[in-house]
Amino acid sequence: MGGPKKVSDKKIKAFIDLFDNHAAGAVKAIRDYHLAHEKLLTAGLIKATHSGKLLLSVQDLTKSYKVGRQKVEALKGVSLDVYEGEFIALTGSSGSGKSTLLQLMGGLDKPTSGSVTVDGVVLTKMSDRKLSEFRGRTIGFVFQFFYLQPFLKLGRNLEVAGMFARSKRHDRKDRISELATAVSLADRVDHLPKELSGGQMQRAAIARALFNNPKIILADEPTGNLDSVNSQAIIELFEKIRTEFGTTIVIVTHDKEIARRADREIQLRDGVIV
Amino acid sequence: MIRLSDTLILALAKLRTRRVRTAITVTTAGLLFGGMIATLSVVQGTIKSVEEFSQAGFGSRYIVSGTPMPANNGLMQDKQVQARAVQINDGIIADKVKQAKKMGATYDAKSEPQPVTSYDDQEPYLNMMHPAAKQAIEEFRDKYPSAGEKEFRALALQYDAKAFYSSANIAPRDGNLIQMKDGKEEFDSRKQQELDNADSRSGRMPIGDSLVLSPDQLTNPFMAPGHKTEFEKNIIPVVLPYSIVQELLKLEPLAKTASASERVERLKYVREHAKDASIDVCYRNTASQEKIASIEVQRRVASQVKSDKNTPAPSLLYGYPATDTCGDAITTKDSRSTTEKQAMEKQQQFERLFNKNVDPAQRKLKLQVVGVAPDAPGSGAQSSSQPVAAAMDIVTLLASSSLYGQWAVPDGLFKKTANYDELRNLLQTRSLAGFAESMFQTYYAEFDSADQARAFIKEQTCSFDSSECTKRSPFMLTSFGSNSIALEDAKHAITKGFQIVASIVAAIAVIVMSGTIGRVIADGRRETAVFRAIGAKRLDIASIYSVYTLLLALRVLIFATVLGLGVAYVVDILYQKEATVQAQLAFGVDNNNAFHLFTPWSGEIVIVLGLIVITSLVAMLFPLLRNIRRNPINDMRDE
Repeated sequence: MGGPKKVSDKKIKAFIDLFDNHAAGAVKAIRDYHLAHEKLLTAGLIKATHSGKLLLSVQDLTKSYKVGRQKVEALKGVSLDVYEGEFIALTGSSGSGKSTLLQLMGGLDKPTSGSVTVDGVVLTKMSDRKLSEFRGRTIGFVFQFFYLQPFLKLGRNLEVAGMFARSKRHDRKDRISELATAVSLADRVDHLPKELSGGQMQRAAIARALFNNPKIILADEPTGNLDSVNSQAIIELFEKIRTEFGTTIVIVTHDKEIARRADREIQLRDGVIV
Repeated sequence: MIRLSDTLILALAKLRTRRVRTAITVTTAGLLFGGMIATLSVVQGTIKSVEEFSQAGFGSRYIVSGTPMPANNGLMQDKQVQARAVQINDGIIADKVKQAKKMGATYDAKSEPQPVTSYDDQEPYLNMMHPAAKQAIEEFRDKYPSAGEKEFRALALQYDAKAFYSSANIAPRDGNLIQMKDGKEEFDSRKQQELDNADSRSGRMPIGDSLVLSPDQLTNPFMAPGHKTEFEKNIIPVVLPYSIVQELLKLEPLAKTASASERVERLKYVREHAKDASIDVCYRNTASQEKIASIEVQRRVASQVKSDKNTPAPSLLYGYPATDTCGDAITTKDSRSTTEKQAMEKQQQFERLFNKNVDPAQRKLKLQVVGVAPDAPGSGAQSSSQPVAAAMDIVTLLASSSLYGQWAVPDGLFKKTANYDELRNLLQTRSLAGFAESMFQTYYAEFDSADQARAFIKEQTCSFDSSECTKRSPFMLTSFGSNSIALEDAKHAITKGFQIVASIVAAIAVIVMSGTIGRVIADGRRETAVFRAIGAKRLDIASIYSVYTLLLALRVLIFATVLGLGVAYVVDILYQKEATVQAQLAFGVDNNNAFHLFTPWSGEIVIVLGLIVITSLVAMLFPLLRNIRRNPINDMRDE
């Protein structure tokens, strides 16, 4: 072997080429490759992407909310640092607080106490308007159920994030074709979501999350609604994104495969990191 | 904030959700508002047309007529007047007895009618036709005069009246005017009675009660084209109601099923030929009437005499004059002895002494038609069986211009009659015995605005049952000529009604629309959450839903406008011809203007369109506020 980095690049290049042309075949090939070179690949990737610059910092985060009359403490003091270019898996059983943590990290919700700092900005102190703006430019969200607009064509669906960021229409057009190509949906741009498969929809949702070129992608169970082949493809896609765009990725998942392939796996139990 | 064009893209996508529900909403709200637009278009169109047509008649003139009320309504039961009548009567009788004795005339005081009559238990009442009663009443009137022109002017000036006119019923002081049907007199009393009955059944007053000497300002709107302006002796110019002129022109009234064009042709014909119509009228004083009536009695007696040889034949016999002459009765036999002649002469002298006109007087007159006024509103003379007729009758009643069935004699034209002074002497203002002269006098005041006229009527009119008002304002006031005041009132009422209906419709529409908008917004909660996650501000979400709502409102607006104006247009097409005829009849004009039941645009319709938009936004408000206030995460957790 000529060193982990070289192997890794080669593999990724091959993967991308294959994936673009024939997704299922590519996925199978890559999985086989993984099984053989697992350690090398993982180590190589960490080295390749981790810049050492702190991107997201969570300090003593607590979150409690009421469900009926009962007060539920979803997070009980979580602290976590995420570095630029990292690929992190948040795992834990249902109700462990992993989704809540992800939402607080994205500024979708306000913590009961503690702070979230992203790219040097303290989210917990921002106004709703500023926060929305910041989120639009810095953070990309991916959800389990895709949430594409059923009556908008795929191209428009990708564009929505750009609409809220007021990016120029011309730039948006370029970005649509760029992203559609990156997620292998170039020939589906004029299709409605109902004409796409689940895997295609999730790839579209990822492309939408990438639209404003965010520094970090927060994905909540992105493969939870997909079969194993499509799940695999999605994981590969995240890896590709991290590699190509240097995007930091935090994924909430039950999928052991993802957890294993992440740079770090952070496990939560009963609202605390274990 | 998100660009408007992008908002539009997202709002349009939203509009494609819940299609069935949206369609039902657009239909329901569209029907509600469309109905309003249709109604408004028809009502406003009608009012606009009425106003256009009004220019032809009295139109936008606000004229109030005032009829003076007698100073005391209970004269018939007034004990003082009764006592005075009895006193006068006793004096006359005493005088008559004395004179009869002196002149050797026959006089039976017991055969004299009494001025005060009483039946059994009833209160005694004054016999108004009795000469003594007339005199007693006149004395009373002189003592307590009814209000006259001076008082009327003073009252009307308080309301800034700008012009005054007056008219008066004119009729022969003694005797009667009888229409000569086809230029001939009917001497058979039974046949004449039948004619009179037929007239009263058709609601027509005898000529003697109909003639009203009117100022030209009131008759000018109705003058017929090419009417005469100079009149020979014994010719009186008149403006008559349409149906009477039609009859004079020997036209059968059109069948109720007659088409609009037939009726408009008839109207044109009647107006064009009105100048050729006239009525021959025979004036006979009481003595002349009695003499003619006596012929019938004589003939009856004569037939009895023939069968009874013992009864001597009468010595003086009369015969009818030629039927078209209105002449005096012809003496056919006079075999009276000198004594008989002297006795009769004496009797006549005696009667002359006591004011009884014993010399027959008669004169053939001609009423020359110079104008046509529409029939009195509601007389039914112009109704048709068309479905629109009922509605048009209301319009007619509201907006027509007429002289209310009067036989108006234009004052200025009448003066052009060769023997005007003579005729004016014959036809005097005071007509019916016992009634105050002033009751046949009508005063008119013209105002600049409906408000002034309305206030004048409302505050100063005197109703029949109020004895108090005679002191305050002794006039019965009504709007005259046209119902422009009523039209104004109707407009106010329509505006008020419109406000009420608009509020109700808007309330229903808010409920219907907020149901759908609320549903769509609720459906979109998760989508809102996603949008918020990918950078949408609350304002962005609000603007998407606002544009969505406006697009929905636009659909309702287009549907309602097309439906409303469409329905109104169809109504117009269906009934315009009919309405035009009705209006032409009502206003007595034969212009070429069409009466439209449709207006494409009016302030109220613009208000309805605005209301659609406002209603939609109101319907959106609550669901939207709820939506954007939510924490997006809650909607994601719902999954």
